[in-house]
Amino acid sequence: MTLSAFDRLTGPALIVSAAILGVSTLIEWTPDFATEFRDGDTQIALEDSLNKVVPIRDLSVSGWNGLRYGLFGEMLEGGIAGRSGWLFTSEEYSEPDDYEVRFQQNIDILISNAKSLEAMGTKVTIAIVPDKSRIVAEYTRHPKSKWLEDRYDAILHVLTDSGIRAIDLRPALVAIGHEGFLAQDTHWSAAGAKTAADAIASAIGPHGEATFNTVQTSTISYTGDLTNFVGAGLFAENLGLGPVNIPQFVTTEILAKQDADFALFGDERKITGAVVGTSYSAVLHWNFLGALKEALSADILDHSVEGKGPFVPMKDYISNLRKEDAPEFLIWEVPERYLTVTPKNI
Amino acid sequence: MIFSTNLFILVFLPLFLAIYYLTPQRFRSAIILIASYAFYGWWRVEYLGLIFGISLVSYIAGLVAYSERSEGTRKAALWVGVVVDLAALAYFKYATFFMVNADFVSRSMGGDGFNVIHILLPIGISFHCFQSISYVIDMYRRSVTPPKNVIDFLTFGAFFPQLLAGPVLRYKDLADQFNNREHTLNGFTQGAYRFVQGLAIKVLIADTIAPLADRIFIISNPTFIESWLGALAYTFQLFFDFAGYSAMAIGLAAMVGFKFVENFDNPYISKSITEFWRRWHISLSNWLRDYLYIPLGGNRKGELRTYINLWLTMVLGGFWHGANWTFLIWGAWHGSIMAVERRLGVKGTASVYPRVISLPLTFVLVVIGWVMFRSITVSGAFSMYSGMIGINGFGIRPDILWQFRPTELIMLAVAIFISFLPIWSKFNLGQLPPMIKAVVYTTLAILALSRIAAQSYAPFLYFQF
Repeated sequence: MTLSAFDRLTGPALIVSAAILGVSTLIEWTPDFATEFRDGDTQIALEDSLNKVVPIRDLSVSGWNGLRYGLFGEMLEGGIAGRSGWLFTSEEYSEPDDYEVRFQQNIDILISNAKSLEAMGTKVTIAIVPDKSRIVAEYTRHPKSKWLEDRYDAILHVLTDSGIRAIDLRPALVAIGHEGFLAQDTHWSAAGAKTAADAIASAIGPHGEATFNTVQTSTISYTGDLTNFVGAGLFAENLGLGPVNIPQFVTTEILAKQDADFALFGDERKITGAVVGTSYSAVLHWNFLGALKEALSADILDHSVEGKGPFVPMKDYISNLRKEDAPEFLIWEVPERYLTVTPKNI
Repeated sequence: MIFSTNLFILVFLPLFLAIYYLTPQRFRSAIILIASYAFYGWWRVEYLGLIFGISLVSYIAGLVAYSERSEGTRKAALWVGVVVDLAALAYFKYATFFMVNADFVSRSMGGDGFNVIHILLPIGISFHCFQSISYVIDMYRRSVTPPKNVIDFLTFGAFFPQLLAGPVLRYKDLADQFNNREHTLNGFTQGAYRFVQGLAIKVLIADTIAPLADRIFIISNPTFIESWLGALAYTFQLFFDFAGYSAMAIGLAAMVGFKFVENFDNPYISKSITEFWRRWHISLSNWLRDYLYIPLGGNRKGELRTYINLWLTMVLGGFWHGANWTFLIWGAWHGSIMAVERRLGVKGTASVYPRVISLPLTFVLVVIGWVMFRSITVSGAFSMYSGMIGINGFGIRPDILWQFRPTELIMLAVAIFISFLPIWSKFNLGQLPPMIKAVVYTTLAILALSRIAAQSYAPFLYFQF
């Protein structure tokens, strides 16, 4: 019986194809053989560096992830797809086994840090940033557990009972709905940041007599951070995950004429306020600091840090703070999910 | 090195095959040996000496056991070979387990305990030792003639397609093939097809289902649906992972002219646990039968002793899988059921259970066993069992539901379909016309390779046995 050419040649063809791909990979590969081949670490590092230069890698990553998102609304670990192209961080849904212990520990940190600052003469206001999925729930697909739904109230109650001033930002943010957050980013929009700042000012009143003015200076093309959890790369724009235009704002102080005339030679004015927080405050795109200055009529120094959660920046701030430099007031911006979840890069 | 990696598929395999086929026939065993040592050494080069040492001792012991005239000397050589192999396995795999348990017992009785040393488990050591033991015993039994040279035996011991995760080979099954095997384009292609098939089911099915199982097995109090979903996910993840690996091993061997034994035969359509062990990890169950069950006496020493031998064989077989009480209990579970089935007269019958329930019942018994097998601790397994009988509630909780991915559930459904299809159909890809077969396997290869390029590394489950 004559064997088909396919039965004879497909095998060699597959191996030759693999070899061609392999040679293309090796040409791009720049292995580091400097470390010794002990304990398997060198081999792992070499394989990782090889994997990065496989010619089909980008197309494969984009293809598989794009297919999963496009067909099933599935994201990589860390993200949850909502409706109408809205994306959410899975941190807002995460409920670790020991979440009650974590909650209590983090509440205790909030209270003790606030009281430490107040002992130095600083009036502390904690602004709990609600989960995006809480504010724009109509764009979510998955229900949350009762404990997660009640978490925001629980935080407010404990802080208030402890004598710490805590601001409920939910009513203000719900009022502006989807305009308060970016659809494909973890964070609030500039409008959401301003709304939050105004809500804080409504609750605690102005803290100075300065006048600040915010103007839109430009728009920029911005890609939401949550699109990284889709990983559709080459096909991102086809799936509606491309960059969007967001307005950029700048807040400047308007000095009274005599103050402007003497500004160069006048006494240095003490900055009375501080804000400590996360990327909701640190990232300039949202202009939360500018909005706070305008709403509170006071100059404020920003001690926020991206990517470290709310507790590390505050710990660093307090450890470097001298009593004589303590601000009159401090806004501590705390995303609610970090009461029970540790940021991934901590 | 792992088969489902870019390094193996794009670099090691083409390079090895090119050198192999350019080498004259008489040097090809040496090429396989060098490639196999490079393959193993890629994990930890310092452990190559261990593999070489076990093989060398077994080779010498086997030669003496075969060729000596004195029965006493032959038996001594047998004991030396088997004891050295078992000692290596005992040290690397079980020493820490025994130390931890001795420490626990000592402290429980008020003692000071022991200083527990954690010993790194060399990959593939379990398979390697079992193959070496089978060789020494077969040489003593004179059921195989000695290898023509030590290179052939070292190659058998280190042969990279099966070194890390089987099948458990016996020298007598491969002996003739070292000097007398066919190399044809058709054989090469069929081997490539088999490799692609194994790669596809491991990468596309097993690796997709794995996170679903992992996620549920860490829940402390899973509900009824959560626990059964997790148990089923693991059941099919394990099968497609291990069967995929075995298929790759068989395919790789075929590409260089070797014929390996089949390791799986649709195990989830079994109608008894006894039948299950004729379909699951066939090479291991054959090994356990020939080198443990029969030397223990098999069924030759009366009814009660038969059941004890069955049970003991399965317990030790379970322990071979891992140094943990969970594996011992899993082995005891299977051994107990097999003893009961033997008592009910399973030998020579299709099943001892009523026909209508034999398959689903056997499947459920297997799944229950896999929960113990997968769990890190015995208490963890019982946490899953509590869920499986509904103690923790019924439905899927919101904090779990959002974590499910559609692709995981779809692939689980695909896995279930493929596993039970043989009940109704004898279809397999080999029946397709050659051109269609070529297109199908090429497509699977592209999908699997692109998936490997896209995903992070996921280890084989039978890797550290």
